[in-house]
Amino acid sequence: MKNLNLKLSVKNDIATIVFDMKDSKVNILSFSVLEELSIFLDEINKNKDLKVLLLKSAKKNNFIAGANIKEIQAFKSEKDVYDTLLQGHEVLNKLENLKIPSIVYINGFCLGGGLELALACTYRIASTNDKTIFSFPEIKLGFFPGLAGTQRAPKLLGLVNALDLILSAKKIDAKKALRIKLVNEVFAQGQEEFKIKKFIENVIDKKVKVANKSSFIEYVPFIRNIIYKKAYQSLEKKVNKDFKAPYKALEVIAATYKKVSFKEAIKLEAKEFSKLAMSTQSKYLINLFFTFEELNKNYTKTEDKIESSVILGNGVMAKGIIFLFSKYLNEVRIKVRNLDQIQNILKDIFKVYDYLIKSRRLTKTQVDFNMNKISYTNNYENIKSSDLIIEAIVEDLDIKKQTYIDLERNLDKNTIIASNTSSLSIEELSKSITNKKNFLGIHFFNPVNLMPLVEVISSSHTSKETINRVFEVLISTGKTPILVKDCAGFIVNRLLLPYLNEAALILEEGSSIEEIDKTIKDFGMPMGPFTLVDTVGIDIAYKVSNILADAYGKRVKKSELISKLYELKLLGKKSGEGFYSYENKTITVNPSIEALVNENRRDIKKEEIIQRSMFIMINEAARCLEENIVEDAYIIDFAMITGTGFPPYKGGILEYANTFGINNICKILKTYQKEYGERFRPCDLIVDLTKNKLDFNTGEKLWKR
Amino acid sequence: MKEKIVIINGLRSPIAKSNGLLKDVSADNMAAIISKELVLRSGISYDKFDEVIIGNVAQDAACANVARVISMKAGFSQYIPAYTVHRNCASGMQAISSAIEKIHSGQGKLYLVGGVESMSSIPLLYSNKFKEFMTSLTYAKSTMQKLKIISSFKPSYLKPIIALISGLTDPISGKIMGITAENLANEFKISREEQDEYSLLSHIKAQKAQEDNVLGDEVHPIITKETTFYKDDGIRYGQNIKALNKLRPIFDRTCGSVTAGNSSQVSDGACMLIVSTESYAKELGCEILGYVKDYAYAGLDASRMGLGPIYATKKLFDKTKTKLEDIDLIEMNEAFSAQAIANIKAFKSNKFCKIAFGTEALGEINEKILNINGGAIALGHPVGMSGARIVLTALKQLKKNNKKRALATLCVGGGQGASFLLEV
Repeated sequence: MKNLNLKLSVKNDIATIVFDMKDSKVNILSFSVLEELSIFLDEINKNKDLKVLLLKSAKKNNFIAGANIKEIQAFKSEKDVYDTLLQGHEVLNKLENLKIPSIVYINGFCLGGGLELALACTYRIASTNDKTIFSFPEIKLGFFPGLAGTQRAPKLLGLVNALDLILSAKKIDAKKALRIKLVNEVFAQGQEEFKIKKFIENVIDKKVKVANKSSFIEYVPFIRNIIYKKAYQSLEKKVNKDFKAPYKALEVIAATYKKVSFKEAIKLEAKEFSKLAMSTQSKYLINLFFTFEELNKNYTKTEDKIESSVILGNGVMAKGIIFLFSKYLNEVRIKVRNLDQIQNILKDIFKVYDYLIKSRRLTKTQVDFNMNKISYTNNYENIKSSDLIIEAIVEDLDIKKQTYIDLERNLDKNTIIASNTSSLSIEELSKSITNKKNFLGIHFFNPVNLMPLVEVISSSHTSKETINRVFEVLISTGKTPILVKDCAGFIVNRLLLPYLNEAALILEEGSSIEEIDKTIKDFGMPMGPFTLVDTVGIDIAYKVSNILADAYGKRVKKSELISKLYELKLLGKKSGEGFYSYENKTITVNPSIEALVNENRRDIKKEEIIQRSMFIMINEAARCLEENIVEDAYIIDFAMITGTGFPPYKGGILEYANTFGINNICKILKTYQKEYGERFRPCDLIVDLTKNKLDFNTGEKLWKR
Repeated sequence: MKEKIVIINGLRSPIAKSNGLLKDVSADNMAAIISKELVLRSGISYDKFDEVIIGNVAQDAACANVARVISMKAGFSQYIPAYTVHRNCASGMQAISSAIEKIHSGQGKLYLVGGVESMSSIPLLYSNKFKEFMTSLTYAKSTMQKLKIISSFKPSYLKPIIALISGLTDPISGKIMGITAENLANEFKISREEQDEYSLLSHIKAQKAQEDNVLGDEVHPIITKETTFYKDDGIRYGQNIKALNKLRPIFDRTCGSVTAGNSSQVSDGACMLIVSTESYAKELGCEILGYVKDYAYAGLDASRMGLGPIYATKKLFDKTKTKLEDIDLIEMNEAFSAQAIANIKAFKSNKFCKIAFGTEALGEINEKILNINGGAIALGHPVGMSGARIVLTALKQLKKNNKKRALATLCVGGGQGASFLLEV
């Protein structure tokens, strides 16, 4: 066999294996790589003159960036996975049981399978390069470490540290890795030549101890059980129980660690891994991973990347964008009507930065420089040139239009103007713009610094170049943009508002705020609809639902409740009272809501709560496809997962529909239509899909034109 | 032929009373805000600049070469160099003339220059004795040694040195600046009343200018997360002669006439200018604020440093063959009323000029064209900034009043004077 990805060299009594995957910028641990490694290990075992093996990577800032996900995706059956895993285990066992000590030098990403390989070595040394990151990201893909990571990690790091790494997929740097004894030594990149040599000498002279963190108390089953219980409780708080991977990982470790032999243990690990790897949950999460990858490459590199920006507005969205751009771009200019607003804007932006300082992600000096990128003016004449201007002012068509006229007077031709409107028509707004090809909508989500999704909305005049430049800059700020055609509410709000509205309609008829919120949260949404609407603000929900009602007419039945709360100025968290009241930091259901709802209330089953709130979204999502607002169903799924927190392991709203069965949904929609009105009438696409026995995966030809 | 030097534009912060509204804004941040705003308003791209040169007197130990920090915070690329200049009260002017010299020697053609001072940030210092105490304590090895050193401590070690006062004390004559003003009051027979009258006039002119927003277009507010500061706040609205007369002398408490009321104020502020050549400004498509025709620095007796303006102006006039009557507008920094009046008197004194220069008097300064919007007594005197400020104000006022030629001049601690001849 010809070795493609690994190189073995022997000098004196030291063998070195270099990972250097052909035709790739990074190393990935595929099963063919493991095969190559196995052959080399045999060779090394045969050579009696060798005293030590060094493993390292030839790639910049990268040791091994994990396993090959495509390989996992391609498996046909659980047995396939299981058999392959056992082969992989054999190779890593061979590495662990090598006749001579092995040292792995880690400079750059050391993730997943790469970390498991490192754990099988006798010693680990690492550079303090800030790209040197250790992590088990498997949970994010719906499985867990499957090359004995569940065994070697607790053995080396102790149960608490290992569970922390495996269950949370968190990333740690070299210094933290040294603290938890994941690595034996760290040094600055640039010193490796001398330090590795010295370390090897020390290993040969037997001056380095083999680290073993797992403390004796972990031999006591009772102590282990307490640790497992605590881990389970903290999981329960953060992760919906429907999402299997972390719970399974914990189960496997609890069933094996210090209980059964290593051989037995890895068999159980492989068995459970195989099940998860073939599960739909994992399939969805892997798809999501690749969708992220695909969308984050969705632009052509330009020569004049957007570096300077102007933000108009002083609201929460404007502040979010100012923060984001001050972190990633060179210039952020704020245009407000009254400079009195500036100090508060800066205070709020600093609050976000202060958190980053306290969590040690940025230094004070870095923040000082970022804050200094922000300038301010109240005069359009002082905005001469800028690459990108984002308007985030009040949602009023006429005011926005006048603003563009004032803006454009002083601008050069290259400047892109964007509106952060969440619901107004971009086509309509563009009417007041002269340079129409440079105008579009860029809809961020709140809180801007945390939400990855951005909807980019083109008008019929927006040029491809403009869209490309905007995609480039958004991706460079860590966002994932999707292109959406102009319509009221775009994708996320167009789906989300009917859902919030439906929750309020359900409440008018029966059930309770807690019951509805809990049901939806148990379904997998990050929070219930009433918690969400309180967070967003009742006023915003009220205004956006009015805009949607104007646009979509009959099929919208507005909840009276939202209007009443709006009139009573119960605006949610920001006013201290909404569906809940937020006094003294304790959150309780607002008792005054009861007086606002129907007296003849009925019990509403959980099933109905879920179906009404989900199906109203599915119906609307199908209309978006009908209207070609986006072309692909998976983009809607992606938008709902990243924009609203729809449970990713369910694959998105349309994958959920596929699983439920379009036929079933169509039937239930029809009964709801009779009972609750026109808003539930299944749209043409759903009827057509049902007729043709297709779903959102297989029925593309029904909506793609 | 030398290239014609132009100031493309300039901008300054409002001037704040020391330990007032700008006390939490460091000199570098203050100057960075003004620099960035000036560059963005000019429409000139950052990479066109050759260098950043900034004057600053009380240089912060935590921010060595403050010009470099300012340039980076203002948005200049790391590849554009920057340095700080110091010529006491003329530091802001020194930044301009350094840029001009660089242009004339072919080093570059576009410079961001200016001056900044945060007198609020000037620290209290420990005495040398306390420093020695701390150092020897650090180096002491045994406990006995340490105890011995600790027992040598005297409370007087903790008496702070007020760096602001040290900075305002002339290292050559050993006298605080106010005493040099007392000297001039005595030499030129300037009464307390005369000084207070001059001071009052400065406030009245400044108040009127602020009410009419005459200086509005040279000022950009300083807004940070700590403060919002729009306008020069040293001006005392409705200042009256009675109030000024009540104040007691602060430098010579027994028989002096210089008070806090007839001296310039200790303040914070920043002022920035863009210096270039006429041809390059045209190439960039920029409107030009005005021209720097020439400048001169002169030295003199440190204990009479307030006379710096006449010494420097004489030199400048000789060099440029200018006469006082050619000047349409004068900005003369008001370090002290006594100092400003002494210059007015010296300008028209044949006797003084005979002794000092061996010539006749330079002429009578028309007080109607002198500091028409008030001076440092009303506005404040952030030392590193003032030189740049009076150049900016002079040029803007020439334009506004349809005048041609201005003189900007100031006295410099240590016994120097600086004068700039400006045109629009």
